[in-house]
Amino acid sequence: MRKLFFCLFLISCFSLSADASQRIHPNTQQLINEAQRLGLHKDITWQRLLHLHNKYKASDHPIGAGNNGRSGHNKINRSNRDRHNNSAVISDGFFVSQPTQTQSIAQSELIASIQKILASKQGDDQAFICKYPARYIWLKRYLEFPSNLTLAGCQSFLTWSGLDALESVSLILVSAYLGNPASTFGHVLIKFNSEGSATRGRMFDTSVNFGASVPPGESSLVYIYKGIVGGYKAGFKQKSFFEDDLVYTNAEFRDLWEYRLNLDNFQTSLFVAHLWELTEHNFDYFFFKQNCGYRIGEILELVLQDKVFVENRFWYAPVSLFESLQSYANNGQPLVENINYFPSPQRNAFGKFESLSRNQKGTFNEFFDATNEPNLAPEFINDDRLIDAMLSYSTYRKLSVDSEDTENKKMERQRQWILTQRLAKPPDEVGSQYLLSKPDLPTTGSSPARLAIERNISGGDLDSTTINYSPFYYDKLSLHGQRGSELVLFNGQLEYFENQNKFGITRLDLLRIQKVDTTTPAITDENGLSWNLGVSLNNENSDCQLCLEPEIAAGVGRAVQVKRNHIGIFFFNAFVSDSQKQYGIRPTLEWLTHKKNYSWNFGVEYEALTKNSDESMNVFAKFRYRFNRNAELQFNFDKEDEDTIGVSLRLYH
Amino acid sequence: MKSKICKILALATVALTISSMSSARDIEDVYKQCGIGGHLFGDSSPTLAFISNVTWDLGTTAATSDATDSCNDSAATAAIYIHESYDVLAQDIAIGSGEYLNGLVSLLSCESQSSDAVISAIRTEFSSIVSSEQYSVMSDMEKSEELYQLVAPRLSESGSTSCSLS
Repeated sequence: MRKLFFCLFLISCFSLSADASQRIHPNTQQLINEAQRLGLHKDITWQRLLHLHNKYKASDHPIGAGNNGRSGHNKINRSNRDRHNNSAVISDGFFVSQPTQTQSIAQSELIASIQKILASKQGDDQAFICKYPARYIWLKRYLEFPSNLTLAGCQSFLTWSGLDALESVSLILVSAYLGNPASTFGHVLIKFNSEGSATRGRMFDTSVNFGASVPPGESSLVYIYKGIVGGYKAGFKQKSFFEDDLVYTNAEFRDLWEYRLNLDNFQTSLFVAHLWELTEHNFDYFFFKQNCGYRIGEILELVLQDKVFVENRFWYAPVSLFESLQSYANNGQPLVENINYFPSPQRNAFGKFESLSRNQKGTFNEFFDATNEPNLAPEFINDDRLIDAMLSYSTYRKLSVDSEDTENKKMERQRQWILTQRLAKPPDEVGSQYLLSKPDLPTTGSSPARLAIERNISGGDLDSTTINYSPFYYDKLSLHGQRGSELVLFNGQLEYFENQNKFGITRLDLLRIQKVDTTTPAITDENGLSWNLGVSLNNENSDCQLCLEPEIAAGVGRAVQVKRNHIGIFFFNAFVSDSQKQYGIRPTLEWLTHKKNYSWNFGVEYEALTKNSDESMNVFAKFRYRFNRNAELQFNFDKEDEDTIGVSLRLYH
Repeated sequence: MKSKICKILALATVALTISSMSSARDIEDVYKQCGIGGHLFGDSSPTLAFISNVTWDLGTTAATSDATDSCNDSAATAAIYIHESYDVLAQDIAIGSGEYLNGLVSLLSCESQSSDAVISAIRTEFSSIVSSEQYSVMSDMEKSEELYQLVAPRLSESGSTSCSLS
């Protein structure tokens, strides 16, 4: 009897133990052994699923393996908190294993994941397999999980991803927006393309955005500072696409380029599943590198099993991701299946206006200028092209104004009249997305970072050799979509003073922005002003190599585009310089020409210092020849006090 | 424009929350029950103009906390969609085509009608709204409400076939 009781006791203990360990699957150890035999914990894809840092992935040395784990990249962090130091994911709960003395994070996490996958109850939406579907999808390629273990019961994940009807994913490049410094480098979104998109459109496709969480009421300066130094957490969030479209396209008037990716079913599933895994977790956000382009590029590398997008850059602009995409082949096919362009309402409105005849343009402007009740002569009411152009412009103006603005009665009456006229006409399925001209792809320009070596000769002791470097450099002669405009960040100039045999930093452009508006047509109430802003440090003292004095310059102006390739620009600039506390004006008149293989400009700049009435005139000219999109040779001429000619080699990466 | 950005951002935590909704609610009720202020931010701060690249979640809505029965299904989705995209949607309806109109149609149940017939009917009824004397002085919410009530009877319920464009 006592033996029977003891056996029953042992059996019950075993049963309780089995329940307590959540139903250890009889295959668990077998699969773990197989995973270890295959070395799956060392696989780059597994380590990317955990977002382990690059320095970590190179080795796998547990603490007990002959060193104390403290040298270089072999260091292992033991606590749960410290494992975040080895992963880019900083939020709690992402790792499911306990730290051990004998296993690396990748290894312990692999074992725990296998155990938890096998312990997942089919149909339980909160089961591990449903919270970490990417791990399951990837491991399933190598390990034979039970056939009844599937994602079919993961309703939250399946609803979120639309996986059953998912055809492809797209990356969307939101164009740069010079009117907003935080948007100057563009932005990247992810969009899931489902089977229904072709008929019901994009608006309710799922889009996933990566960005920082900024608390309400944050001041602009604090926001900029924290964004640069990593003061915010960031993560992936999904919305319906129309929500993003309303912000980027219809509020900020930015164009979108949608790059539909050519991923196979496994890659698409892994991509989407890993995004799901990350939606509850956070990363550090750094504006210049670990930004939207970087994080999305990382996930793409995970899926493609190739380190091609974000490697070895200390700086990452979102457009860089798309540069890499375009030249990449996946399974023998281009990774980018197609690129679709979606213009903003502003571009639509301006394009339609430009397509009108002079007579139509005159009628258009008279209508919007008028203060009486809106009306047009019958021949213009019957002019479908004119009415369409007016409707587009009315929509753009409505989107532009603050809805709280109560001074818009005239605009509302005009809009009512236009809508009424258009509704009286039949539907029109073509021509409503008409464009005068399609802008160049942002990726046809040069890569963002620039190195330039320049030699200037002016005779005497003013000859100089300079080296310039900037991590983000687009100037008015650069090959980019916004001709005449500039965006330069942290451009440093190191100069060799030949007469003193010394180097010195002679200039540091902290920020230089120029927005040349050649797209705003002659529509009444549209100012079409161009503007610029520059903050720099300049060395005026050749005897002092590091004597940099700050200068702030800003200007407004007008630009006119002649045909496609020529621009005339006038700027009225003013500046304040800390050098001898000077301030003055610096109006500039110049002409630019852009061609595919070269650009050139010439102009005149007048400077007058108001403090001591000094003035000077500088005549300048530049000719820049492009060997390819990332290598240029430039010749320049300046005539101020001395005639100076120069030649520079410019390389972009 | 900046106020519009604020309202659009306020959508981020609401538009996909799932629950049933009383068909008697108007747009304003939807917004209140879902925790979206129609003018939550008033005039946008300059900061908000900076944020569209790097943030979306201002934590200013309680939408997802309105648990099971307020803030979704096609009625609430349509209400929010119409109100937030009204200006672009109005243009598309006037033209008779466009992505935002496609999106609206996708929320509707066509039943025995073709999508073209549904669009035609919407255009006719919308024309009556736009041509009314009060239209130009109506608030944005009032305009949205008129359009919402126009399409509400056609909203697709669970299990019914949504319109798809031919």
